Amino acid sequence: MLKYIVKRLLMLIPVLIGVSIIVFVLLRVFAADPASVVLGEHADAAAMESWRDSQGLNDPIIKQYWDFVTGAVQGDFGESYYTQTSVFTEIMSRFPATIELAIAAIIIASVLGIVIGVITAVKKNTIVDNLGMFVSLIGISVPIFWLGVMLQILFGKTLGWLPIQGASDADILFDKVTGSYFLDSLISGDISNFTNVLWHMILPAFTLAFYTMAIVSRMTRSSMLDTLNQDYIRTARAKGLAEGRVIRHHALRNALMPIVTVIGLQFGSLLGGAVLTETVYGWPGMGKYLVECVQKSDFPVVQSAVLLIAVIFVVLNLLVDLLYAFLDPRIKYGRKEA
Amino acid sequence: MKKVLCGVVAAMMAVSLMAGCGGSNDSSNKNDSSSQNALSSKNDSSSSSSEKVTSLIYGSGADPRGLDTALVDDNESAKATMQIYECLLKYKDDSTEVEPCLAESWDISEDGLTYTFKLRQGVKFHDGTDFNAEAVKFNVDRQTVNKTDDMPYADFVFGTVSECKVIDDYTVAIVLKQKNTAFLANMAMCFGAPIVSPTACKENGGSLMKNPVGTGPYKFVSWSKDDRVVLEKFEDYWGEKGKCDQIIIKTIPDASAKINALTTGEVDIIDGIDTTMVEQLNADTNVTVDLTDGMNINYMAYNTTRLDKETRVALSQSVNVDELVNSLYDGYASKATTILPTFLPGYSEDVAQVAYDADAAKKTLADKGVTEVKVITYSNDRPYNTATGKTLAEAVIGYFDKVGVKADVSTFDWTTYKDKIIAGDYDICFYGWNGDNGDPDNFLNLLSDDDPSMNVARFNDDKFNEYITTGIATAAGDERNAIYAEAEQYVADEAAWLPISHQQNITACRTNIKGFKYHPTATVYLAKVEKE
Repeated sequence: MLKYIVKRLLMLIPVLIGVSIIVFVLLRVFAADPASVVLGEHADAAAMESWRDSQGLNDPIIKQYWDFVTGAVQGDFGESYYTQTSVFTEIMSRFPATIELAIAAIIIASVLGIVIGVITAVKKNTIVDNLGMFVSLIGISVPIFWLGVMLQILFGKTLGWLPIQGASDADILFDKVTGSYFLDSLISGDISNFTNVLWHMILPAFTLAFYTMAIVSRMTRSSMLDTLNQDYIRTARAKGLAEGRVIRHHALRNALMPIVTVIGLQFGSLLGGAVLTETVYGWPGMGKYLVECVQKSDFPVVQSAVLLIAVIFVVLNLLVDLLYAFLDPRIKYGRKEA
Repeated sequence: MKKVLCGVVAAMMAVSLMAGCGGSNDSSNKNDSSSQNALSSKNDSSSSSSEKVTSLIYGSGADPRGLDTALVDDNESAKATMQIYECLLKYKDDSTEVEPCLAESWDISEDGLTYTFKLRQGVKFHDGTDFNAEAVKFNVDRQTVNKTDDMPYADFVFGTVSECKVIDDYTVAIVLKQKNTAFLANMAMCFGAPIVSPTACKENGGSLMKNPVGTGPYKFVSWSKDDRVVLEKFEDYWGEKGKCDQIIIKTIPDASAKINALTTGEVDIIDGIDTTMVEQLNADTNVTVDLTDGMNINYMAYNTTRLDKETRVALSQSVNVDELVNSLYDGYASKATTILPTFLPGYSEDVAQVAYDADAAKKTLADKGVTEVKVITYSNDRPYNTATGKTLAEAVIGYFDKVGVKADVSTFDWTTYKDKIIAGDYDICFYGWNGDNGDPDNFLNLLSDDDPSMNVARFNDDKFNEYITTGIATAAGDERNAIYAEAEQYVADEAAWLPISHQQNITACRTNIKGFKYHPTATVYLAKVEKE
């Protein structure tokens, strides 16, 4: 098992080299000149040329890439062109907020998605099935920005139940220790800070979860239908097992493999940043920031953030594969088949 | 084990539900109580929990680029920095006329080259450093002799400065290389001109992007990226102290969400409101909408190196600007009769642009055999053009079509668009300008600039350049204003640009907010704003 994990982690290296080369070249070929963005409307051509020189942008692209890679290996990802702050600081001041929103969303999506999927599979071709699939069809079809604004109007404005902007009330202050609003509010020791953050998370987490929930519920339904037709389910029922036990222990566990794969991939996407949800709710995460940096041709940030996202995907895929072994004892990693 | 876990989760949910319900029914109460939480959690030792803390929350469309005014050029940054820093001079509340601030008075030498400022005494920076002539010299030198490439406004504000001399502790003389009547206006600008603490600047390696220290009515507390900047009242401020205890600049990037945040009371003030939202806000009794004239110009520029004067005039004749402005901007922009906004010195109502005459345009263009023009535009909206460059271009080519001219239109995102402007492969482009300092030179010198990204019409005319050279060296007053009025008429006759509109600034605040004004320079000064 350990050998397998190490092998998979070593595969990160060619993935990262490939991703970094692609991003590096694409940015330099297609992105606009960052000098005019950084130096503003009043900069003349000489100032822009001097700035490009100082940033090494006039060097051959191979040298630029080598400088980036050698820096990155030593943990130096450079400075943001636009804010002149270290890229590590810029990303880490936003990434924890993205992680906590993604975790909240994936929990909501997984629980609701699996519950809806199982119920619709068990109650196949009934009104419950149709209703569940109608909800998931809406989840797949509805634009997130529209859903976000509608939920804001309903729960924020009309009903006045939930806050609609940011990760906490604007005038609540607590020290940023981990960068995660959830954890930092707990660390502050004031329960009202924690509940305030939790309350702010409800709408964005639900909005972000809606699409994933729909995917998970459809996948669960289809996988469950397949499993429920298997002989061993019939055997279990014939043995006289309670229907609930048949569904939970025999059908769902066997149906979980594709569901876990989908949840893993969706979680990876959510961790890469949820641009629309973050924009609508003013959530201080990484997705919106990354898009802004692409628009501003802030090369060092984009390169580093994309590498981070690549690492997340590879590691999450590994975790999903490891989960297979946990879910299905027949799967063993690192052993040759007999 | 499972039961224990379930119990813990259930207990946490119950606590959060109870606390959440209690705190979220009334948003104004919620703000007040949480303000107290904020200070009590931060300043346990220094503030009494019985004092009511007023927090003014400003909804801003983007995160600041940084908090060092020498290193930034965006208005989002200025919303925070102009509460923290001050300049030698400041603009009057509703105009671009300057008045004393950190300088109590000033003299201009007879040759117009030396500006001697008498500085205010007893002023301290937020870090305790004394404000004096050495501090001013440090700031001027920082953006002149010690200038670095990443100071976007250094040349604009201090480009004509040759040296800064300390006369005594509270007197400083700034010597110019050439006459520059706009220099005083530059000394009140929100970029470049604000005075930073020399001590803090040196301690932070020459950059105050994250740790701003000025002399202003509010001092910096914290900046949570893409979330909020928090400022608190500076108790040792030399002038009238800030009305609110805290100012919070809250980042809300989505336009609809910003409106919702204002109407639910999560923020007190917002700006940059889309014209389509004004009606909705006007219907809300808890909100006041404010419209102010914008210091900007939205225009169409002809590439004067590719189109001759006769063609330019004919194309201008083909566009019904009145109709265009009325249909595109819902009454929130005024038709531009000149390049200068009406409230700027040098504006003249006697200037006449090329009048709409489609028949004459059709005849001239047919005679000259002009049947196609290459047009480039930008896809997004701009502060001076809320309808987007794409929409504006589509409307204009409709007029061209009516006079027999087909347009080959290419649309680009703003950053790429600027590269295309520099490349110069176009007959017509759309552009605009937000004024920096309220001086007419700031608008009209665009047409004499050597840089094609500024002078997008690539207009190079000796007579016009003479107007600009004379204007900048002439002392403020009627004589100078007459020069700019003449220059305006000259360039209108040459039809280098077709001025289209001046966009209004649309802001809104809760009705319990008093004293808020959006300054013509698109900056906000919040010290006098009260929250009842």
